Amino acid sequence: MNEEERVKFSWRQRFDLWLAGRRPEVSSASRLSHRRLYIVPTRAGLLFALVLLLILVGAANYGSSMAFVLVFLLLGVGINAIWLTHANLSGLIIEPGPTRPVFVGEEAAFRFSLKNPQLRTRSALKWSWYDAGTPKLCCQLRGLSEVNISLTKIAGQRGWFSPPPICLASTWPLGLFYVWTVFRLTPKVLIYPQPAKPGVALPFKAQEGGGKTLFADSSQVLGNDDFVGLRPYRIGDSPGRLDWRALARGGKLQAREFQGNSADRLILDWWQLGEAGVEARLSRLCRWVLEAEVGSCDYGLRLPGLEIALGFGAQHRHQVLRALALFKVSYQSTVIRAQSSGASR
Amino acid sequence: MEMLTPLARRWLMTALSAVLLPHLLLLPGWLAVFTGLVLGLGWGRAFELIPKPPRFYKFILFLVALLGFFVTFGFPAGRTSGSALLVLMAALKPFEIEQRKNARHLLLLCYFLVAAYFFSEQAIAAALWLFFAVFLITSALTALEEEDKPFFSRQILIPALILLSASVPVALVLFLLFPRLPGPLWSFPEERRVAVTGLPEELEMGSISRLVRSSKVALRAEFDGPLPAPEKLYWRGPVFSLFDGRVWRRAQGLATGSSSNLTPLAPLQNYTVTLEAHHQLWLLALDPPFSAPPDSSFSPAREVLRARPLHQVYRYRMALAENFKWFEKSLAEESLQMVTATAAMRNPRSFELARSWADSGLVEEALVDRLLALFRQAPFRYTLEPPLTSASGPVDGFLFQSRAGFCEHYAGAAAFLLRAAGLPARVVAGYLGGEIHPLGGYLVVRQYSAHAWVEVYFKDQGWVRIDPTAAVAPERVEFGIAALFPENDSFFSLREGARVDWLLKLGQYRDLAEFYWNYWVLGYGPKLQNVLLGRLGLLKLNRWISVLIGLPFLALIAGFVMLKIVGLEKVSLEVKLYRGYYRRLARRGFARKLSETPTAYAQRLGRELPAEAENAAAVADLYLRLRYGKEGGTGTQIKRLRWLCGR
Repeated sequence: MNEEERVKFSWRQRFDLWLAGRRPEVSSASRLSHRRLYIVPTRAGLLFALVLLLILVGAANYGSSMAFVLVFLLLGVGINAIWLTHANLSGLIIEPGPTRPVFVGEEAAFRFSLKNPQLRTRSALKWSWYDAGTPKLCCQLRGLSEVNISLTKIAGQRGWFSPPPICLASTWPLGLFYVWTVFRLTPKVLIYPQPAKPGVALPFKAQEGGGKTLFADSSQVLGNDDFVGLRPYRIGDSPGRLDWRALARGGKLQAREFQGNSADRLILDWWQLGEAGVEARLSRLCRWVLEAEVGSCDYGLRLPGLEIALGFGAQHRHQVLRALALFKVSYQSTVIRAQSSGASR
Repeated sequence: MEMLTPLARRWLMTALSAVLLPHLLLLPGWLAVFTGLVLGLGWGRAFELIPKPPRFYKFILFLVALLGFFVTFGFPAGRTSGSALLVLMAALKPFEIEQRKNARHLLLLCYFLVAAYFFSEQAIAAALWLFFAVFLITSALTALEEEDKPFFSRQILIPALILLSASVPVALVLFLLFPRLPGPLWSFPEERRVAVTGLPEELEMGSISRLVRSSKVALRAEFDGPLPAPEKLYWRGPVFSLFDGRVWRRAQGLATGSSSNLTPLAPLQNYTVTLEAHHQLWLLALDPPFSAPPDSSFSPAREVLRARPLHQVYRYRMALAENFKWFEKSLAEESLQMVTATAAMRNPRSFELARSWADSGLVEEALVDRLLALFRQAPFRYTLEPPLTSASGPVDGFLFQSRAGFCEHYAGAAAFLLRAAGLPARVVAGYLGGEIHPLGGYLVVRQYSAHAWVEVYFKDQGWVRIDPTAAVAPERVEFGIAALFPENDSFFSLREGARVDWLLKLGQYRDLAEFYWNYWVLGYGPKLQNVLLGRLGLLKLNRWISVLIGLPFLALIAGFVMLKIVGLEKVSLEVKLYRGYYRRLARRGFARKLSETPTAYAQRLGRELPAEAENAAAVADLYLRLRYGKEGGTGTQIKRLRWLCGR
């Protein structure tokens, strides 16, 4: 980072960057201790201090012993409220949960669970993305219980989406002090490319005519297939292939089998796309993958420097989409995105 | 914007109502009723009987409240009107607020309103109210943080209880050691107060007899030596030297000091007075006062006057002498001033009578004798309720029509007659007598002992106290007011009740409690603090420094205690549970030995206490698994251990 770039950061941004370095990443269950909890008086807390000062001055002025008693009692309440507020978060355990890939434009969910390993109840815990302002969502955590929390963020770019910092806070019991911690979850969410608009037919290759490409309408593809029979459900079968009616009648879950000569060899090929630009091409390929899954035909993928053999099912679909998502995504760009999201608050 | 939940609104109203209730008793009648009604609106919203008010209604309500307030008080300049305005606004607020933030601010104002009450009132009962009100406000603040809970939820009540009880030691230490400054920092312009029982600022006919209906304590006194005789217990208060024919007034003017030459003819005896707040300048002392407390001084009429009205209980030392001579270097103008034209015009017959005495050559003692003879011979009665008269002046009406009156009638008439006859005289108001507290040994003077008498200046004797009431009702002086009206239970109901023995005892204990309360709590100021610090040997330390060092130290201790309470200590849960288990068994006589492992302990328990055998084995097994097992304990296992240990 040279000098010119440095001055572009405002003090606030610099502070945030410095803070980002201090935010621990949560990769496994970790306990909230005083090292990670911060506490400051809230606006109401400052007002409380002002009220105390006024009472003290009044007590001194009128020589009122009872007012002195009151002000000292309230001072004690204020001091003890610091400990009680801090203890409301202290000792909680944060454990990151599993993530699921989503497409660009969808909401990526980041999960973690909050565990209370002690007997006492934690009240009014609040959380939100750190950049979303004061946390609003609220829950109570009884002793020895846990709560699963999921925070979502719109996925804007394919690749690995590492979650922005999360803020866990509380002002319980009196609202005079604000205790909070900021952490990042390590598990990232894989963002698939945004599927292009449907309309372009799947690029089928005829089985017999080696090298001869047959472009056909997708409805035609299904029409050419012949229904062969039913077989028991196997994990990975496409929902479109299942015999829902039989299931509704109370029968077993079964999949319909088709035999078609056109569906078996669908190669989604980077070099045979009409679109210009990397992202547009990836979007088109992504749409085709989805359609191929629905149409329940085997498909493969050919990208520059990468080839995935024919296959079918959830596992295969993820493998293909993952390749699309991570196509030419460098480590560098991920880092830049993380920094810019940290500094844009 | 976080909105108020119905739960939070109910708590807010509970706390606010508890805080405002005692304030309502201090407000003038209509304002109290209005405030009560407005609070009712707030309750209506808390129970969702009233919808959110349109802005127009809010405005009208606010305007009515403000107008009414200004009509009653004018511009709020002092303590009474200031706190009345705060009370009014606080009562209006919950009706219209929607946000939690505002409710929180209102509750913080409630803390201040509790204090504002103590700027004027400080009875023992009010101290209980202090804790109750603070508890409710703190609970309401917690209720604001909670989402949805039953009204009396542990989650709301327990934190407030913890906070409050953990604060009591801090409050106690700070109360005793926090540096107290003598004297006020500023003063508001004084306001006329309504309805305070106490000696009047102006003496009208009937102003003392009103007091006699009250059994409130006026002052308490402890004597270093023996108690003076009952007929010497004249507690001297305000002195009235100006008479306009109707009303006796005090000679206004600064306490410039007395030109008196007062010499004790017997050794001085010290005594201590604890005077209840009466919101007036004068202090009460046995007649005549020989010395003035440090922050007071003598007026020309030798009243003991403070620089500022007394709003708090006040304790001071005084001296008395059995015999004394009291001459005046130069008589003050007010005492010399005889009878003004208006006073004479209003009371023409009395004036004529006094002139006729003077014309017949009566002077000094002879004149006083003639006057007392008049009271003794004519059919004068001593009564609390003299009939109304048609005369233009009270003295004429009393002397020639009703011939019935209370001490202020006798004193006022006597002073007027003596002045008209050429003798310097003035009326003194105060208390006569008092009761010895059988347990505390101190003297209690109540409002019903209020009295008025006359001081006359003889050239060769100086000021002499004349009590014309004694001429009519000598038992008043010797046995006190109760002896005079034994049958009239309508106004001595309190004393009537005192015939029941336990009620009498209860009253005595109550008074004793109040006495110590006044001494240790309300009277705790710089003086008493110095005494305490001296006993603790801390006086040499600079107090400010000791507080600066002490406060963080206290905070540390408080923090340590809280750590213990809320359990930030590193002992894991299963250890705590197991510890609780064997401690419980230890109480039943099966203590775990230091050397015993959990398994050995369980085996021994199985032998010695067969009923516990199965449970003990299960506890030991689960505990060991949780503590030393490879996989950490799950929540269910911990819960199970808790259940086993609790059996």
